[in-house]
Amino acid sequence: MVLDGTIAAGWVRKVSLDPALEREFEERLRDSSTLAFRVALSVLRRREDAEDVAQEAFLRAHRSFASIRDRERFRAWLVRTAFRIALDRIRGEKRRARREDAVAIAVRDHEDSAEDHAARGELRARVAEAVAALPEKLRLVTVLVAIEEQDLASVARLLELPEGTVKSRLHRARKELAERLRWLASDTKAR
Amino acid sequence: MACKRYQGALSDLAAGGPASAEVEAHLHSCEACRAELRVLSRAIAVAETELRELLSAEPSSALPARIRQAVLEGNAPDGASPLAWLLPAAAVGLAALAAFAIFRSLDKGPRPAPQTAAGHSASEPPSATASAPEVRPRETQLPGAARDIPHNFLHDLPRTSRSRAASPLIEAEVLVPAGEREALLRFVADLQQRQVEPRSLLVADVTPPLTEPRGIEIPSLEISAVDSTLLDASGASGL
Repeated sequence: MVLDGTIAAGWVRKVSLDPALEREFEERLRDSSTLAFRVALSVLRRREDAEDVAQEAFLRAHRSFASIRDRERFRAWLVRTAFRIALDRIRGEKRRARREDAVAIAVRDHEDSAEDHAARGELRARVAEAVAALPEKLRLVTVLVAIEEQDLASVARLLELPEGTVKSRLHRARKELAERLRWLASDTKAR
Repeated sequence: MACKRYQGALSDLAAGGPASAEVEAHLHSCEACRAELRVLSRAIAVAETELRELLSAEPSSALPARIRQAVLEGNAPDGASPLAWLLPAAAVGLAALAAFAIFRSLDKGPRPAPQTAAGHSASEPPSATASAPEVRPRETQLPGAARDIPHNFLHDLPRTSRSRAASPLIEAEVLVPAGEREALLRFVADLQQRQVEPRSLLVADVTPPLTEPRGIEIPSLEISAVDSTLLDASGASGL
């Protein structure tokens, strides 16, 4: 790895990799940018901010790519980094101001009526709040299980944890979510 | 309303945990607990469905290109600079420095402002007076004997004093106690003109020689018996 620049305009350290590493990095970018985006989205709930976080996570990954070039290791590193950057970002935002539009995510809602849209927005906000209130370890497992579509082995690889630990954390997370969202389910029809 | 005793076991069961024989037997006989279990299971299902739907969102198709570009340029997005901590850290450092300086100045406490040979208080900035920047013209402002101080006075000073007096402003400032300014200037002028013999300034040793303290004579005490009858009589009459 060669440093070809210094701290200059924009507090930037520009790093270039040798061509083989650049090709590998390009592969990781293709197959993991959506993962980084979704992990960030689970915390921030705004697409633009989630894309910013994904970009920042890849930028950091590029700086340390030589030590995390293995695919599994890279994805695990990326998940942790994107999650951490997103948490830092939302904590900073909360200190500045609570934005009311945080819950307004336009994901496949265009077919719903305005009433349904509002109800769905409210429901999603409550769910997101309940997930956000989980301890960080349980929260990350819950989010990754949703992203990886219940594939616990894949989540275990992403977290570099035994599958049993993932199962146990997921169980605790579900139990907490059930208790937090119980009121919501008692007056909401199962969809 | 579910039975309080089984509430924990029900959320455990809803989350996918195993049911003990006791809980299973209770669920067979308790309609309220069965309803509670349905509610808890539905809460988890709603949460997971919503979360899955939220996290199935795709990033914009331009994201990989945007990341590629950022990597090429080495740019972090707004607010995500790797050195973003540097500015707040510098601010904290400066604040600490200022606080330390204030603490030190308070610690020394207020002091009376001595007068300077140039006639203004030391607390005033020297540059506040119109004539302050010039050293030699100031001579003309001095009263009485002070006017007689020769121009080369500073050049006759010892080497260390001269080096300290390199700046014209510092050169002009001599702090003296209030009321002693003219006397000091006269003394310096006399010294320059050799009207005062420096040797005469040497003070003779005025410390008295140490002498042995004289012995103190203490008269011896006499001890005699007290007449208690007199005391009793005065005590009875006086009290």
